[in-house]
Amino acid sequence: MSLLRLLGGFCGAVALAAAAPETGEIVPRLVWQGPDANALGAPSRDGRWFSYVDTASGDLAVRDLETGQSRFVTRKDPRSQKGEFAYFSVLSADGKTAAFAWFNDEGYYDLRVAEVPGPAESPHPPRVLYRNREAGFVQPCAFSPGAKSILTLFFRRDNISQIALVSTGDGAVRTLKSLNWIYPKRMDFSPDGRWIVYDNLSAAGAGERDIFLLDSGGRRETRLLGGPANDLFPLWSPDGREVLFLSDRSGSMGIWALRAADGLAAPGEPRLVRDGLGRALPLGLTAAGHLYYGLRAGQTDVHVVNLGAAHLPPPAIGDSPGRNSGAVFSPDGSTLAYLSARGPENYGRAQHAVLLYSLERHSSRELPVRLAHTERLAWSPDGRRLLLAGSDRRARSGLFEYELESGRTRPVVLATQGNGRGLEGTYAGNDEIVYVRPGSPQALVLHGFKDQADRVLYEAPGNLHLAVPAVSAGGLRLAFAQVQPDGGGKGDILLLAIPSRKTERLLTLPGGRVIDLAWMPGGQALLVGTEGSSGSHLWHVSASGDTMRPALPAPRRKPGISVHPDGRKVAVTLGEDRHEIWVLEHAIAPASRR
Amino acid sequence: MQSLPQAAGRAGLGGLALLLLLRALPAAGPRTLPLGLDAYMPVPDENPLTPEKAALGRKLFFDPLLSGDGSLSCSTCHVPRLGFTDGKSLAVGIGGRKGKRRTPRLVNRGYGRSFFWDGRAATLEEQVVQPIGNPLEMDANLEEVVRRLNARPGYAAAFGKVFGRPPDTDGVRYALASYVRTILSGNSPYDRYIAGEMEALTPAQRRGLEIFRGKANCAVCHLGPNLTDEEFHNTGAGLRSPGARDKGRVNVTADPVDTGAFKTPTLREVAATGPYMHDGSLATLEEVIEFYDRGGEPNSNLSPEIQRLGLTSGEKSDLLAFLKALSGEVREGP
Repeated sequence: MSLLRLLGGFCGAVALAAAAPETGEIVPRLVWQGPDANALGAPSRDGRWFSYVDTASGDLAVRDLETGQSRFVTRKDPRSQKGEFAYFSVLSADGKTAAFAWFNDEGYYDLRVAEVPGPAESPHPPRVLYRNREAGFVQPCAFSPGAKSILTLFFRRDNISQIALVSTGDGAVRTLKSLNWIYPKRMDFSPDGRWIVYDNLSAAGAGERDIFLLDSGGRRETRLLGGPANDLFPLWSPDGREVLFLSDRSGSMGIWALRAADGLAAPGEPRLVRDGLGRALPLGLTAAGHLYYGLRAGQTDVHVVNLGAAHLPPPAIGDSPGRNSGAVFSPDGSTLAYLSARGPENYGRAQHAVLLYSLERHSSRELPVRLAHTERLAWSPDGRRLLLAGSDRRARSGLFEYELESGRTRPVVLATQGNGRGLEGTYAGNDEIVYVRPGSPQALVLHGFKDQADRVLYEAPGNLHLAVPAVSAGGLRLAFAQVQPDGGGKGDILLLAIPSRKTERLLTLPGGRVIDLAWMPGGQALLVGTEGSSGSHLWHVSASGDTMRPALPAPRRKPGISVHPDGRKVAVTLGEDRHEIWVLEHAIAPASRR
Repeated sequence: MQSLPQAAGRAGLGGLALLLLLRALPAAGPRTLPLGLDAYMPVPDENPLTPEKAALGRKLFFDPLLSGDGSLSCSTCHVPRLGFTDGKSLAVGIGGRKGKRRTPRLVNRGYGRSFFWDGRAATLEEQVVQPIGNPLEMDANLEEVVRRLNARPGYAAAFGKVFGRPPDTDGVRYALASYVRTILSGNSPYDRYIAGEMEALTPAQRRGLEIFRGKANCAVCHLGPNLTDEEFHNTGAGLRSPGARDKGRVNVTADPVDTGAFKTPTLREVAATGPYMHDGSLATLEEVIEFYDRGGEPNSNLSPEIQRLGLTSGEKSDLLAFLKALSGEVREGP
């Protein structure tokens, strides 16, 4: 690890400590920005350490917030642990132990603990506390007082989320409450260990969240805060007298505090701590009352670009600038369907609305798509439907279809073990789709709407992965990437003749990860998008594989490309996703400090 | 509290057998739960769960004194050895009167969010007394039941001990609801598998679980620790039954979208508790699987989740095997 990385992360702007002005206003301060700044970690209670995922290796690390130095908590064997990585993490009150989710060699998350190494120490071997494929997504939220258990959110394979306590001694699990497919965005232990605070939908089918208290023995539950506002991401103050939470009750997202005692709200209304925080994700409170939060600071925009243009970007299209992505042209080229980030933040994927942009009127309208998450779009050849990859409001992941005329959303293919991102798929005709079936081996499957039958078109050899299926106009040929599973992207682009199932290799990827495949009108060429250490590139490749040339300069291009039916324009997404870590010092009322 | 002989004298030999069976069931310790169930069970503040109250509720549950003519108790239809249902297509009440719907299983109802097939009762306290007054079920006047209870020194003393007052309607509701909260099913092979014991399910059952969650789409409604979303869906069940007029949830909400919708029942103990659906119109689990495989019964309000499945015979067999893995340990009582 280079010295730069040890000191790095603070190479971004670090504002000087903003002393609270005499007015008592609480001022946010940027603590950390850089490629490793992500909202998956948490500060220690003493405010000294911050856990995070090292994006280069996938290992868990901690940053000393005073010195700016980092230490690895885990250290993977790069030869045998490819594809494994840390995810959510929390630190014990003394900062000496980390609990974290680990994406393991079997393809699901387990819960681990590890000692945070000292200054001259190597990482200690982590201990697997709980490993169960049936509870394959894990979010450790807080250590109990005394660190005897870890408050953990499990998301089961049957799409049930559960609030549980996992013993740090033997990993025994005590499930306190099951919550169906809607999971809390944040949970926290009260300092006395008696109460768990969490957020949840105010009622079935509601859009806003309320704050709840659950007795840590599972004996009692109360609604601490309700009402029409969206109240979420609750955290206990260090003295246990207040709950801090994010809320839109003022019209914009801000931090609020509510006094609580014995499992009930104390008399009085919530008080505003700081308003206008933007796309904030509360991460943890320190003993001194400092609130650390992540901020989704990156921006993405959709642009319509002439192929061969030397300069980028032209003006962005669509409403809500800075939040748009994933645009696809309608078959007649008059309209772009695209995604726009909406609603409160999540630790992982942003929530998206689906909009239509008229290229003639230069205006957008939102579609009432009934999905919780939408990641990718495709138009049906007749222009009447959209195929959406994502997950519905019951946390079922897969491919869904939205009918533009009726406004109905229906499931088309559901994954038995989804991650919320849905399946990769596209139309092969008005009544058929092709999708990538996950698992081992992966396969390209042709799914018919009329007979609901699945036909395997191609099965990947060994443990190779399949990606970015693209069907030519007329539905006769399928292009797709077949890559190594280690995420590095090495592999081939293949062409398959759908009627005969015959495949041929188009080209071997020069390097980087394939993020896009799109046929040019006429089917004589494809656009191939790659992303790697040298940035993102877009290539024009003949269907015979004879020629390959750059199609666009595309710095900071995100996945998702769509070719206009005239073959001269493409819709691309430019920008970046990034997080920053901020602190609101002295966020809680002075009377609440120890 | 009544001794076994006294209780048997009232309930007859069949009742004695039931009581003996009950005694044979493993008694739950205080707040111990079978594997697979949440620690948190919603209990209203006005009716905290205590062992004494549950014991009183149990006594009432098995006492035919709660019926109009003294011939039926709650346990007549909610038979413990039958998963607290009765094995009949439609409930049979006092004097052999036929009800309109099948007797629901009472297991794990303490975790429920609404009660009866149409969800017309929001709490157990509200639900438990409705069969007492229903002319097709126990056909009793609750005030009269309270008078009978007050005339029994044993009950007067028991209510006094639990509630600090003589028997009254609230006491009856609270005691019965408390007992129902103690009727629990868990620790099935499925529960053990979910907890990480991979060998708890046979290979066929594991395949069946994948089908349950995937191609058969059962888990869209039958999910969670109790394998129910506690919501209401129109599967078309019962539409072919002679004189099918039961419109289900719409009778409660008056919302046309609820026409023909009924509450998703738990699948715990499902293998031993046929017949199935709200009207008992499907005799076996095989018939249930066939029903869903063909896409339920088409009607204008059919739930969009219900579609033709295209299951193979092997898949149906595996799915059936999995459903049998949902039978576990049934506990009741304080």
